[in-house]
Amino acid sequence: MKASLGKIIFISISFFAFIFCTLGIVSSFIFGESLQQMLNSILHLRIYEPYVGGKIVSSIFDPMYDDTGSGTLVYPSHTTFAEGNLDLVLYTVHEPVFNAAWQDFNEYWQLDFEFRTGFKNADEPNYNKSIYVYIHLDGKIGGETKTLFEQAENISFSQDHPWHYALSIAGKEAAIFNSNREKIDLAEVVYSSDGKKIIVRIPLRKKELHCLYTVETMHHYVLVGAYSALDFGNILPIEKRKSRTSGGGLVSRFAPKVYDVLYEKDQSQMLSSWNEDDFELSILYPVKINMKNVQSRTPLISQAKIKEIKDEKKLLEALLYKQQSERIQNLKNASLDSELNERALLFLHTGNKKEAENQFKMLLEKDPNNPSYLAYIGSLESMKGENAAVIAAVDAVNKGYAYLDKAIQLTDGVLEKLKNGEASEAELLHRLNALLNRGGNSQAVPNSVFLKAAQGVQDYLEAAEIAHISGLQILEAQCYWDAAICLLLDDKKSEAGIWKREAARIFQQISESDLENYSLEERQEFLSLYLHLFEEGLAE
Amino acid sequence: MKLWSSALQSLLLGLSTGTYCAMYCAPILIPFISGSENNSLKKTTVLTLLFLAGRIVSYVVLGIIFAGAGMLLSSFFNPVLARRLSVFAYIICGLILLQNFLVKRKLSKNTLEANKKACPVRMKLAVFTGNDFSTAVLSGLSVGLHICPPFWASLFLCVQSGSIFYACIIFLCFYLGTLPFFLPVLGLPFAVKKMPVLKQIAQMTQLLIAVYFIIFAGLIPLIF
Amino acid sequence: MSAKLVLTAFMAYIIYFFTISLQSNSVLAWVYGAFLLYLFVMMLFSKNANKYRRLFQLVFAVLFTVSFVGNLYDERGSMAITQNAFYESEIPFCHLVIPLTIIPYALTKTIIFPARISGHYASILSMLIIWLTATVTIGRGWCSWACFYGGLEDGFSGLAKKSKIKLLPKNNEIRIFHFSFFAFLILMSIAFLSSIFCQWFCPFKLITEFTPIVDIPSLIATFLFMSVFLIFIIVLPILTKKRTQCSILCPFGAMQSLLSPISQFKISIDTEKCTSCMKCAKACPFSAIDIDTIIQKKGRPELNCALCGACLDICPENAIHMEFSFTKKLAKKCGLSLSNKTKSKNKIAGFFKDLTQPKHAFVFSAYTFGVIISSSLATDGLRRIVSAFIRALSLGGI
Repeated sequence: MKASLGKIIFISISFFAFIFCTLGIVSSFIFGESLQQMLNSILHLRIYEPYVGGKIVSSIFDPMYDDTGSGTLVYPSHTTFAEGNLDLVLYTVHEPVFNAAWQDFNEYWQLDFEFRTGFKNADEPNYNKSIYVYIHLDGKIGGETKTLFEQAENISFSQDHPWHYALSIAGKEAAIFNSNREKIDLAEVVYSSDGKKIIVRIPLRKKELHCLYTVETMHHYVLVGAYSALDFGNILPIEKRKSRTSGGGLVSRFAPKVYDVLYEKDQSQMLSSWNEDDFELSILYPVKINMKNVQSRTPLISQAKIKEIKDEKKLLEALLYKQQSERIQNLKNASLDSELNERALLFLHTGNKKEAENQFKMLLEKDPNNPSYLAYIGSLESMKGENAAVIAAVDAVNKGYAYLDKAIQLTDGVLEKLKNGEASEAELLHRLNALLNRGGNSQAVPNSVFLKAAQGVQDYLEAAEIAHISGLQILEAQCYWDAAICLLLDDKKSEAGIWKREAARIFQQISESDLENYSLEERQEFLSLYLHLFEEGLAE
Repeated sequence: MKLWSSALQSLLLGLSTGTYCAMYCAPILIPFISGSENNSLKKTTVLTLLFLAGRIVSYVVLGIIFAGAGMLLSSFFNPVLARRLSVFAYIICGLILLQNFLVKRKLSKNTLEANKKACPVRMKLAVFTGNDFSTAVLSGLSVGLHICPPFWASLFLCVQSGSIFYACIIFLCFYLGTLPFFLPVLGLPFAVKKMPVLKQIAQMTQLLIAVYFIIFAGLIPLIF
Repeated sequence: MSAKLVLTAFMAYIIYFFTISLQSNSVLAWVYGAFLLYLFVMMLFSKNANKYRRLFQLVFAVLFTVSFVGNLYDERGSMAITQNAFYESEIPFCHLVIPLTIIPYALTKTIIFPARISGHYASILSMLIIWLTATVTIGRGWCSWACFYGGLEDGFSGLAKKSKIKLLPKNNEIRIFHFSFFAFLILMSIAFLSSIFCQWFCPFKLITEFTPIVDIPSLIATFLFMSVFLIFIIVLPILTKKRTQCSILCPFGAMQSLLSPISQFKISIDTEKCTSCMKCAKACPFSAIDIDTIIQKKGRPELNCALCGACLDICPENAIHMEFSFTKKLAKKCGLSLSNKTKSKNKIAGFFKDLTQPKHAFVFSAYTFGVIISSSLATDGLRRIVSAFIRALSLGGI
């Protein structure tokens, strides 16, 4: 008896070890993403700073869509310039690094510039920016208030903060100068693969630059112009009308030739401060950079306020649910396609996915190439994978994406039509439905398995652009937020931060009076976004 | 009051950055002490103290040279100069460790006697420089050529203090602050006693480190 | 027999999910899946599991190289690491770096390698999870069953019929050097806060990615990589019929050897049955069985055993077998005699006993690792080879 019991225990433990090994290995791969998040919540991994440019001391966001200089400038018509290429959105300053191993320079100082858009085509990169960074070291005497190459940018600097060093980035080349306009050293310029980010590393091998290690505060002026290989200061000139070799929108020969400057508020007033009568150029004001004693500012979030917003949201959702259920009843005998479509959407919003799917499939039978129906069916198919077994879940998601990709394909080119003023409302609606549904799925499915997060970012950003042109502020802000979430899934924290900030900025522009005109659904979206932003400390 | 606050500042500087000092010294100390013959707690303590003594002598000499040359006007160091000094530190340290390894390997009596007869002076010099005690002192001296920002900052505080006596106190406090991180080294002889194969591994590791220091951390950056 | 069939069915399910379903049911995924299943069946049912293990590792290593290099060309246009990938911290994080990052992480709370933290199959977090899983299950069995580099040495070591250089008498020195090199890399990584193995010594740069040659130090580094690859991956394995890089240089292998007490499996030598023929010692590709191991009747291989099973297959007396690491202690506590090999009369108990036989459990677990890790890379590699072949044929006018 004892021997049998011993055998049973032995076999049981061996069986447990067998299960532990086999299921454990399989589970660690299937639930890999969750395990990674759990592990990172304990380890808080980050890369050793000298490999990634050094500790970040300052990140300054510049508003988007302000790449019009003093308000009138337009890009040259040359194909190398895509919309948003010269729109600076984030400027990051790192702490100077010393004794870095495995790098081109053991001592260097890194500055990062992020722009709203990148290369038109990754295979044909266009280095079309001419960036100037003028650096004032607080406490150092001397300095200059005129630009490095006079009349290149057509601006001057505040007397309180004359510059001591100037970094000139012209296309793919860069150099740093002192206030005597003597070149100190060449700097290294690296573009990210999508062209949205420029990393500049200034080697600190020359003694003249060693003071950068000890300075406590600085002031920076950052200016972005269009690159020209031939023109003075490598800045493309501005004329009244744009051409292949010049930008357009010139209103005065004293007006600045820069499209964007680093300024956290509206730059147009500052850039319009020239005075033709007194022959004075616009005076720029710098941003302050703290190089030492940098503490990350985690804003205090009021839990009471969060609860208040959540309660209001719940109330609104209950009201909306009631309204939608009543409407479903009213549409019981609907026969028109538009009413059936509305009914199907209402089923979806009230959580009745089966009915919604039936309705959409019925509608699709009548109109098989309707992108909106395809998009919603795709989402519904994909959602079936949520509670299914692993293999069935993968099949469901793949099936869903087949519909979603077709919806996107059928609506290609709508954004260009909209920019040319040729898109109809129906086309816009279909395109938005396709983008938002596919983007939503990309957020929901595990990125480590399906690798859809990057595609989700593109979908949401395109939807945001459509919303921006169409004046749909809440949708625009929501799309930026969702794009940021997809970027976080793709481990792109810095870029995610940019879009979250932009979502917050758009959100802040929505006034109380606008809210009064919003429908219940729009108010619900508003509150959801407000909650997200508030929890991150990006809204008041 | 100013002296005490500067001394405390220095001590805290040493305590907060002591891990980095220990990280630089670990590749030299750990294999060397683990691989030494007839190792005991007493011998390990003596070797470690000799190493640390060599280190402080180097620091003091460098400090006097920098102060005299007027280089300590800024609280931050010249990183290019620091890196160049480190290259020489690695080459010298590598040669010392290599010498120690070769002497350890040639410790059979017959080989020693045979070489003594062939060239007594050279042999005596080799044994003198390669024995554990000399190695500890010489490697400590060479490690002192590594300049890190905390060390430079403590020298800056010394110069700012205005008197030699105060400067010594301040520097001593900084140095004392870095010492606790060397205490784990005293546990090495116990580990080696438990697993004698660790001694062979340590000696081979010492050889690899010596070669790496001389070639990869020394000659290659120096020449190219 | 029924237990083996059940294991085969489970493996077929795993292969279907990871290799076929997740690779969009492509034809090549089916081909690779069938190949994987065939190998598993042969491992279970034949007496030469090691031969099929080697075949799997070799095929995986080749397809991995094709896929990885192909992806690099797609992303960057070359195998060279671009500055952009370095500065944006997008270098693939391979398992060889893990030992060199642990102590620096403990001291500085940072990872001394410019890789993605997450969001990629070769990110730091995903490799850490894989490593932790491997350590608590198959231990150093990773090296012989899942490592995508090891197959190259397995392939080259099988080329010559007889070894020209006999390493067996030097096994102990090889092991001491291996651990010394490991200690050297760890101490240097602490001192310089960089992975010097990646900077100077990694032989696999030739089949993955490397820093471009822009100055003399990078030229020296490239010369070193090529030499180490040539000597330790090609020449020495051919001459010695051993996995020389794995047993002399690999820091991950050294670390897994030290962590092997944590894993669930180990190899045991029945000293009563052993006739000291030394066939196992000669066959061991990791130099883990010394002459002294057998003569002194230690009852187990040395610490650096990679659980490849070569000794199990070659022993004429069946004196070597796989065990759960807790087997002896547990058997003692349960009052069982391990020498009693009579079959259980109870069919159900017999089935579970057979199912949980350590050898079956280990082969199943280790092979599962290999299947999952190889699935997407091998299928992609196959796709690239077939596309290249078709392109070549069409260029040739066929």
